Amino acid sequence: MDKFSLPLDYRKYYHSLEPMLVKPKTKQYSTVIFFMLTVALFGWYAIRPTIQTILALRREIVDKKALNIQMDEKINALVEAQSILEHVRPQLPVIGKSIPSNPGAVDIARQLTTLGQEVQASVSALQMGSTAILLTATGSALPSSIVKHTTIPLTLSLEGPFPTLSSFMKGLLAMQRIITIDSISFSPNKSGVPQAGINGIRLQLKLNAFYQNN
Amino acid sequence: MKKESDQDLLLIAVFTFITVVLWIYFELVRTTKTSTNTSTVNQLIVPLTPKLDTDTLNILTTKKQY
Repeated sequence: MDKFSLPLDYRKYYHSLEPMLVKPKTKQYSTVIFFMLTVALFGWYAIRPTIQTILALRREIVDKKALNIQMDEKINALVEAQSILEHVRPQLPVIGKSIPSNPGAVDIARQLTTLGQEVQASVSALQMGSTAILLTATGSALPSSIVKHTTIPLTLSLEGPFPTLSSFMKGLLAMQRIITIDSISFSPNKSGVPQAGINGIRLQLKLNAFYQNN
Repeated sequence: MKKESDQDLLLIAVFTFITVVLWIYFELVRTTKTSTNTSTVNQLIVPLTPKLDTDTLNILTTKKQY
């Protein structure tokens, strides 16, 4: 027995297959079955990777072209933003004064008292909600483009004639430090000594001041 | 009996063929639809509007500090 000939046991099976394989019906079936299996195998291991690579590359080209356009637009926007920033740079400290990075509670109290003195209104009470006097910067805080604000609630009572209180309100709205008015209540001043021709009014304000909370 | 066996094999071959073709089709569709941009690049290309409310800034500048 040479090395290419089949052993006797296997040759028996092979010989039994031979008459079956020569039948035309079996031939047709075998052709179709092997064709389909071959195409499936070839498709999975050869055609799929090739077409996948072609489509991936085409998609990448489309994506890169779109990316290029978007990057150009972004660069132009950044250049424009930079020029606007340079234009307004001298005015930027105003933002820090309007909404400082520290609560500056004492500064608010001082400014309100000074305003009261300027318009000759008598500040009878100034209450402030609990707030930190000074914030210490935490090293872990990453710079963020979103600035959050924390509110400092204030209650202010002052007395005086109507023109004085009106001036105080105008001064309050013209203050650089941004303060919003929650509520205003006017009431006749009963505690003060009435002056001739002047009706004393008591003004109670609920205000909100803000500071940046990065 | 033999014919049934042939038909069974043919059916298996046909279903294998259909499965593979569909699988290839969906893989190719997925390849076409999936963006090749990374998340970092997507963050970079978020559009920027270079507009600043300078009117408000001017108003703030005119305000007074007591």
